[in-house]
Amino acid sequence: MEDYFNEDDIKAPMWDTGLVRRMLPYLRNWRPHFLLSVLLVLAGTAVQISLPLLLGRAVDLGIKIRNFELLWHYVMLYAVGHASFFVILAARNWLLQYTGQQILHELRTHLFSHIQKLPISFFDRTPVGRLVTRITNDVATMAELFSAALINVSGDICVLIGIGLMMLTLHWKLGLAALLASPLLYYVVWILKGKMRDTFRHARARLAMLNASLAENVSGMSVIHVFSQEAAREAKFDEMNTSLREAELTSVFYNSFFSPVVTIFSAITLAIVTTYGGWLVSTGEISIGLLITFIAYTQAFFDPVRQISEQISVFQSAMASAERVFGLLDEAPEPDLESGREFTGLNNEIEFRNLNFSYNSDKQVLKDLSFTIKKGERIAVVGHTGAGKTTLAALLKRFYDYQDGQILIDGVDLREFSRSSLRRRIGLIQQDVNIFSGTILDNIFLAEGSFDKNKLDSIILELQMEILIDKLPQGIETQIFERGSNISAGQRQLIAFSRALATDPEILILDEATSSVDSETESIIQRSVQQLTSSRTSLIIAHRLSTIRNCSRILVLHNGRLVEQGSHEELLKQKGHYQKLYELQFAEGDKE
Amino acid sequence: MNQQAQNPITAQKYTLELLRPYRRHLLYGLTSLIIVDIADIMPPIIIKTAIDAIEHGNEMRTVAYCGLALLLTAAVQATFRFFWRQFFLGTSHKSVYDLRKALFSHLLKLPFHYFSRTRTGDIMSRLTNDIQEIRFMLGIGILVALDASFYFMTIPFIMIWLSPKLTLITLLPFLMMPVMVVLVKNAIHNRSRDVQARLSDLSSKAEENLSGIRVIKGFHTEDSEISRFSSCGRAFVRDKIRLANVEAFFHPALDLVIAAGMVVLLYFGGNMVIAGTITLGSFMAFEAYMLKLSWPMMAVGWIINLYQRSMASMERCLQILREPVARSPIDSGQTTQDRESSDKGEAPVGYDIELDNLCFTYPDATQPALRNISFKLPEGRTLGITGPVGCGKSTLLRLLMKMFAPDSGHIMIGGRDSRDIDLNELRQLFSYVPQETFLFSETIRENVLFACSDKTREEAAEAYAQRAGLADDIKEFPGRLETMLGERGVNLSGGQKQRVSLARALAAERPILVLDDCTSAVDTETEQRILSSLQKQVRKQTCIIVSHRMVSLQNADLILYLDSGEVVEAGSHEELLQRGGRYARAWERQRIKAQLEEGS
Repeated sequence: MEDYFNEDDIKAPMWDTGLVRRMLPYLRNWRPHFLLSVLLVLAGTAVQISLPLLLGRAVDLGIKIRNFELLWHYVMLYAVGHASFFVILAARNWLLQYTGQQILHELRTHLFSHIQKLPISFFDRTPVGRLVTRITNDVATMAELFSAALINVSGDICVLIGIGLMMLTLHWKLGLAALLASPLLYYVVWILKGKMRDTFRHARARLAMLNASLAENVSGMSVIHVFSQEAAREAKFDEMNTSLREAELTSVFYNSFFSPVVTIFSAITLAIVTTYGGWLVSTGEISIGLLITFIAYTQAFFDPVRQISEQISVFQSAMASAERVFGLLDEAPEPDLESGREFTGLNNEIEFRNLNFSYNSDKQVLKDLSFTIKKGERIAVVGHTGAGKTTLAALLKRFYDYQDGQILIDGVDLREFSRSSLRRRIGLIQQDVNIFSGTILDNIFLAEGSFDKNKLDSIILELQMEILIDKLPQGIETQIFERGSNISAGQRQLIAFSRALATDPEILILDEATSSVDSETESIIQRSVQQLTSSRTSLIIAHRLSTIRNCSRILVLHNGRLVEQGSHEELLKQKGHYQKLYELQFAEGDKE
Repeated sequence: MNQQAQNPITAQKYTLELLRPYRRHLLYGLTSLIIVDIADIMPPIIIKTAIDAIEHGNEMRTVAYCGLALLLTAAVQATFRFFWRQFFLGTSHKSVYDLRKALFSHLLKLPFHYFSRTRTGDIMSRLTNDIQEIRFMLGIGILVALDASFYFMTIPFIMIWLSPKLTLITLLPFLMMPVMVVLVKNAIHNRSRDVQARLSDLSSKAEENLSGIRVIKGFHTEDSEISRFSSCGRAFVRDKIRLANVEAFFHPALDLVIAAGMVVLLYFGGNMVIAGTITLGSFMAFEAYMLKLSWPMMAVGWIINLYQRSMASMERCLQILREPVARSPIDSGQTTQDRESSDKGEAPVGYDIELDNLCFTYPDATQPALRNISFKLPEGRTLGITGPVGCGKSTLLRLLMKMFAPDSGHIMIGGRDSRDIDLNELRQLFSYVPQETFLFSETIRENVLFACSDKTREEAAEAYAQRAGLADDIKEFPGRLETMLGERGVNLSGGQKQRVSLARALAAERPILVLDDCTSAVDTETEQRILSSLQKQVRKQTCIIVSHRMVSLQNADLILYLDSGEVVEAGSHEELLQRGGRYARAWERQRIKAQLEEGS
């Protein structure tokens, strides 16, 4: 179910210095861009402030004195002013978008790379959807802080200060009179905004709850129907719906005060400026042009107030997102994959010696496990669900490190080898095949630039893939749709096999799927498994009788212990655990 | 779907319907709006008067009056600005409340198959995003549209009154604005679509990577993945910057158009002031009006866009409302209610269940799901149903509970054909424990008493919980029965959930108890305990137990073994074992499995 209720966003602070300080390193590469943005903000402010001044001058020196030439002169200046304001504003917007996106890209790639380095145990406990949200939405929301909010707010503050200073400089008495009301305005707006935010959050929380409950009712509709609880559910929903409406109306109530307050204050200021300024003009203390400048300033003074108050919620969500993103970046990555000795090949044998392992402390998955696999041997591992078969594969690839006992490769502890070399040289074929977007070729040679024509030819030859490839419209270059919907199950299996072969595995681990497959796929699997494992040291987590029969030795695991081992016939004769498993899993009969 | 033809209400009409109850509020809102706008177009004229007075000199009294007039218009404006928001935005929330209510109550009436063919996400997006869009239109949309129209209908005339010639000259550049908005909006729209597509590429790349992380780590191809993701990211940045190339210039360009008007005004207006054709005050008023007119110009495009989006959203909501409701042969809400209550008073008339040659095929399926099912189950007895996955077990239950109607054959309950029993009445007969446990994010008590007729009985919930084998679990929860379930409370284990679901069914106290493979997440021992307690306590209750765990069924009076929609074997446990058929073989396999699980 989607997450309709996100408390973080509703409760997040507006500003968190610790978080902002952590964001700063991402800006380092873009210092010149930011510097330029700041310059543009300052330049824009300067132009914006000078325009009313020009207007006033045009009136005083052009219109009043009836000087056409000077008027023309000021009209030109005025036009140039506007044109440059356009250029500055557009450049600033563009630069902000540009820089913001570049930072976002770096941040996103950084986060993604970090996630790639996290240990498998992290992915065991974290849903994919949550990670995708972090990579897409949260990072974007966080970057918005730099691109829009920070610069825009500082731009607005610049305009406010600029206009204030300008008015004081031009005529300090009139300027002071004009600014008289603004401290009070800011105070009132601050109080009101607090109230508005509270009621807004309250309404949002109600909405989130209502939506969560709606989603629940929709997905549980059959339960409601079967117990014929429609009326009760409707009443309950109406209760929530009503409380949402009331919360919204309260929010609207406080919201409705905002624009009247700004209107009143701007009118008071305008009235003060007009009357007092008018009196000053009549006494000859200031010119009519200056009064016009002042009127224009007063009108421009109240826009930033509105703008700034609107940015607050952006700050808030940015902080909430930053918190989540940094939380993810704080997850400890896997130790250095390259550190340790390079695993080059198996000379003699792999030995499992008294191996104990548990994913978390409460349940032991492997218990005192000891056995040896000789080079070139083909071993099957069988056992009931939860016996610990798949764990063996994960341990060999060092997805997890064992706590007790040892796995020895030619007498050397597995943990001394680097993870990267083990993962490259131990091929794991999982039969729920993960298909990635791209061509078939991309899916075989997963690492970029690892394509090798000769290797491809030998893989095609070994797996007898020509017929299947020929069936596809563009052969091996055919684009695979999302989740591999345009290829058959058999073709998918072949991709999994050839993917493993592409890395020249020294040891092969096959994790056979439990589910039944169509006969075409079955025959592909049988043939390929036989072919692949005949010349390589292989460990097969087997669910198919055909596979097991071809193995030199079968290990029977039960509750993490090795209970029996031997060939198929030997084990059947023992009439022990294997025989029961055989009857249950492999013998003919009803499929459950 | 023929309902659609009878119900041709359009999105526009329905929107008006939604607003109709609040037309008085909207009228008040409109009145406030007109007062606000009148008060808003006054100040430039007042300032003009003031400036003209200052120009003439020695008319300070007029200037002072002007100051007062400014304050007065501001006071009027502020007061009514408060009301217009109250009326318009308030109405939008009330209308949306009504819409939500209508949608939800309609959803409650829709038949089972609607929910099986519609994704929850799809319904939810209509109930959240689309409603949001509609609320926008009903609130701020209407407000802005009316506001803009008022400005269009007044300001140009005031300007003409001030100076027709100047109006013509200065408004010319303004006409470019709506054209520009439409043109640029198109470009922005197209480029945003590209950006959206890149973003979805990016997130599917991330999703694909994270779902396949074991393969990626297994082959140690993290670096290639990072570089691929990064190139997806770069494609996104590239398109985003393409969008910025237009977007960054859009608003400054609108400002530039206004500025062009201003420059033209300054030149021609200035000349006219010098020539004495207009006063300096008129010149200033002109400037102010041009500024005021600029924002409705920009708003036009926005409103058109919002209107189209909201009507599309309304259409999507209407699609839900047009869905035909579940049919009920006796179609009268009130009488049904009456009969129910009278039914409860009487002793049960009998709930024998008899199926006769029942056949059923799902709407889109080619193979029938059930074929010629017949059996008799006397009241108070227990029926067990088993068989391999997909054999039709759950389908049979769905037909019994009338979630679907049979193609042919009969279901008789208490001697009456279920086709003739009112849907509501029929559902009052069944207590159901579904295969996939669904609990509400409410307290355990609320979940248990979900369908209990007497919710006031305090001890009732505890008793039912105990019977469902929940007593020990509940002791461990912080709030006992008042513990909230779900994300904001405790998360129950699969077995605990099933037991709550069972308690809920028991608390409903209906004559027929249906258990749909409901104890699969409970260990055998607990299951046996629960089942035997049921056997003792509900002797009078007819029980239908579906399970693929055969030990659960061994005490049933009648067991059906289904395969591919047909009854393959039927009889009691002993009879079926003696027969040595598929039931017996399956029983044997499960016995071995149990031994394996116990550990040898």
